Amino acid sequence: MKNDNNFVEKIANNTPVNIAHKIRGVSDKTLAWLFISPTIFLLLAINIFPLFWTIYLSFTNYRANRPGRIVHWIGTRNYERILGSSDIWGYLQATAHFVVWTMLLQVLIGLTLAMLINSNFKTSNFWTTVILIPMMLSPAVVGVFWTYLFQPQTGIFSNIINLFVDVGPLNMIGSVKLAPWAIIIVDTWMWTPYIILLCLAGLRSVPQSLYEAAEVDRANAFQKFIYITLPKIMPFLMLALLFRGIENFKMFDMVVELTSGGPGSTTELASISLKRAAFELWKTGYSSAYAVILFVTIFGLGSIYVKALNKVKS
Amino acid sequence: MTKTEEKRSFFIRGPWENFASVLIGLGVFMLMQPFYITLFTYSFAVILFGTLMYIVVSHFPEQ
Repeated sequence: MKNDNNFVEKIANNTPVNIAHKIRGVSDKTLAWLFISPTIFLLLAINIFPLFWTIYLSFTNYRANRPGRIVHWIGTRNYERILGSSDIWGYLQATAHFVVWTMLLQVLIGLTLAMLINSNFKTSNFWTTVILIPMMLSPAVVGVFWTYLFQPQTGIFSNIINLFVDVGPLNMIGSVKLAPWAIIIVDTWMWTPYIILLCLAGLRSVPQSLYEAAEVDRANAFQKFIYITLPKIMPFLMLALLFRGIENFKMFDMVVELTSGGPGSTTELASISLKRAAFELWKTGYSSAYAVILFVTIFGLGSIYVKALNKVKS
Repeated sequence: MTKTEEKRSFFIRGPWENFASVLIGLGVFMLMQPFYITLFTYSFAVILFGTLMYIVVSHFPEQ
């Protein structure tokens, strides 16, 4: 308490004499509030106000490109239009296709590579560093250079595939059938290292004595994996899955650089269609409702994520 | 067991949180499934209900 008073006194001493007596009369609690109020005000202005403003706009017919137009309260009509639209349904299915396949591939490849690295072969440290590089790159940069790699005539990807199967020039980005797989391949390439890291953390936390006991019981490698490794790393795997699921649900930058949602609307994920509705069609009220739907979905998934995180912590 | 104790044991966090999580998961599935547009139409209501429920029940006591 004495220290706190000294602190108040110190501030008062460095304040002009005519207002110093006011500072001396300030309680610790008020002083604390005085210090944190700018941060709270900034947080309210940057995070909370836009959120509530978006929720308000979602119930109106507001268009940002027509500022003079009278804004009408239209109730839940924007929500009804979105949730009855087969186009939006299609974009969410494209998102689901992307999310499910990336999660599946990343877990399969990530877990396999993590087990390989965990076996501590001679150059495992070097390969761990090499494998982690894609995760450190910016998604926009990754999108741009994979566009070059996917070029049908000159790109490395098409040439490598043709070494094994003679299919001619592969137009990964321009083909309706292949474009969804192109974005899945790139995301898997970029984010598998994250799964590897989490799986490695899980694998290194398994006590060696469990494997020794299993060996005494003459368990084979498969049994050790199913009954020891998998249950022990499951919380880490769940965490990785949830995190990647939420991140991929919001995926925007990399896909915009790679395909811009094309060809047609084959790779138009939810976030890309939201951006189009907001800044190309200028349907601000409608896109606000769309944003609220995506926000609530991600918030809901985030709640489960936090629960899983607490489970891992405990 | 008294009525108050019965009430207390009913409002415990664990099972309610799990139920809310299942609702959220179900809602997300309904939002992105490729089978019925009717499920898609009602998905947001399910997710919203699950999320609000999660916020409420996470304040329930653990025991």
